Amino acid sequence: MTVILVSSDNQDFKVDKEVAERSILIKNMLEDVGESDSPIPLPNVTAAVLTKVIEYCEHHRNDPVQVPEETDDPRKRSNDIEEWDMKFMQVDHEIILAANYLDIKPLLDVGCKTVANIIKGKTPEEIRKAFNIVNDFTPEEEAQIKKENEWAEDR
Amino acid sequence: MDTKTFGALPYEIQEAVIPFLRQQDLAICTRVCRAWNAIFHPALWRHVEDRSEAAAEQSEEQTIWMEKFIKCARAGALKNNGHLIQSLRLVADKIRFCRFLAYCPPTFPQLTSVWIDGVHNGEEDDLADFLDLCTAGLKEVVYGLRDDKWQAFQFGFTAAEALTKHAATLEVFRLEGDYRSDGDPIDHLLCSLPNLKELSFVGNCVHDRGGFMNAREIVSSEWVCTNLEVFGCGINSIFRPELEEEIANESKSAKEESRQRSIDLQRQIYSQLARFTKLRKLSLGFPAEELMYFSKEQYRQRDGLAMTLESGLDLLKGLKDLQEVELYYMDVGIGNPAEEAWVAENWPKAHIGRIIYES
Repeated sequence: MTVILVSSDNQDFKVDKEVAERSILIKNMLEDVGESDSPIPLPNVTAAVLTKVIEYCEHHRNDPVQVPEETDDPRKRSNDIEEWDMKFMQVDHEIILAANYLDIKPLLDVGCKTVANIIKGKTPEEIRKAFNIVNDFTPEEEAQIKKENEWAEDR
Repeated sequence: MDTKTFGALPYEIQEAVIPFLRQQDLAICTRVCRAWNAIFHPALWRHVEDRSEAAAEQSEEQTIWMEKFIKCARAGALKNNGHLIQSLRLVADKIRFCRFLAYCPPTFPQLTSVWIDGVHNGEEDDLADFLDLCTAGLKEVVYGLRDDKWQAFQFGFTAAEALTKHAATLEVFRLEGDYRSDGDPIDHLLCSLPNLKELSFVGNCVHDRGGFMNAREIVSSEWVCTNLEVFGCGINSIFRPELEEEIANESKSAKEESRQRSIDLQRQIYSQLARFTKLRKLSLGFPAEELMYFSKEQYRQRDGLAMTLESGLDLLKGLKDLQEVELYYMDVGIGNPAEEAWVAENWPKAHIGRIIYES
């Protein structure tokens, strides 16, 4: 069974229902609508991004559905991204936005891990460079923050 | 990915990145710019503890982190940010804990989980003072003292009383490592903390350490912990004539009367334990790790529950959720065919771990 997804720029995408349902948003929509051929509009996702998201869902169509993990440790690992996912994420942040909007938790996680990996091990200046951020602290302010938070930095 | 636009991501997605960052990365992120500081600074201060790899080992490195933290506290960090802390784990002896207290803000309005390693004797008043600052109501409190051959923390009434002020919220209390506790403070907790889910007094027993409750003193206690899911504690002072017979080869008939008294007492204790209908884990007796200093005979608890059908084990058949039963160095009936069959029928999910005295 297939469903038709419509991107914000009015392109139709014919997708297996099973693949489309990797998105919890779409899954819930289909459940609400019931058996119907009417296309599903996705006004927040462009065709370029939707193409990538469908590619991701196709690749992961047989993955078990993720159950929310009950773990004591609030910190999660970020060094376990699959190679295919790693290559896939060489695109812009719109994928992350779409994953959030379409409620595809595993894709959102891969996006967040990718961002985390860019941050890890860098100095503040290196992070500013990587993310094109202007330092708006005075040197005194930055020194004060360092003084307060130094307990958490690497020794 | 095009990293230039991370700043343009909505707040909720920036938040979603936080769990994948290590503590030291969060600390660096607070210094990047004002916008990042607003996100990552509160995230950093949510959980204050030593997350370095050295912390996993029992080493001097832990006190180095604590010194570093106290240095930041002295610079005003704790007063400025204490309101953000939700969980706090310290490695502190008495002197370091006093210094920590000196730099605390008037209250910790979000703090619900406290873990203090290195609690020594004489700290009870300091601990009580600190607990009073936690105005949100604590959910979890753990005190530990590790690998101290010479000292043990004495858990007493002052420390217990400080915990009962958090009766509306407290779900977990554990003592770990080297400590001693009489039955009174433990009984006081069981009678005052209706929301408790875990109460554990199972130490690494060097001779005479751990928490024990005197059976004769708790038979008429009004325990209110009906939500308890994990309970670990020694119960002692149960007269066990059948063991004395075994050891001294005394004749059975002379002991019939006292044997009945022993069974009556045990049935009363089982009735008390039977209130814990939600129990998932039950530990009785004490694990012994340092056998080199003492003979095994000294560890053997011969005045605990017999855990036999004859002594009234059947009263615990309502504990259908039991998944784990730990029985350390006790002379217990579980292991005999009749009790094994009873366990299989009445505690279908339970894994039974017995460590027994071997001559």
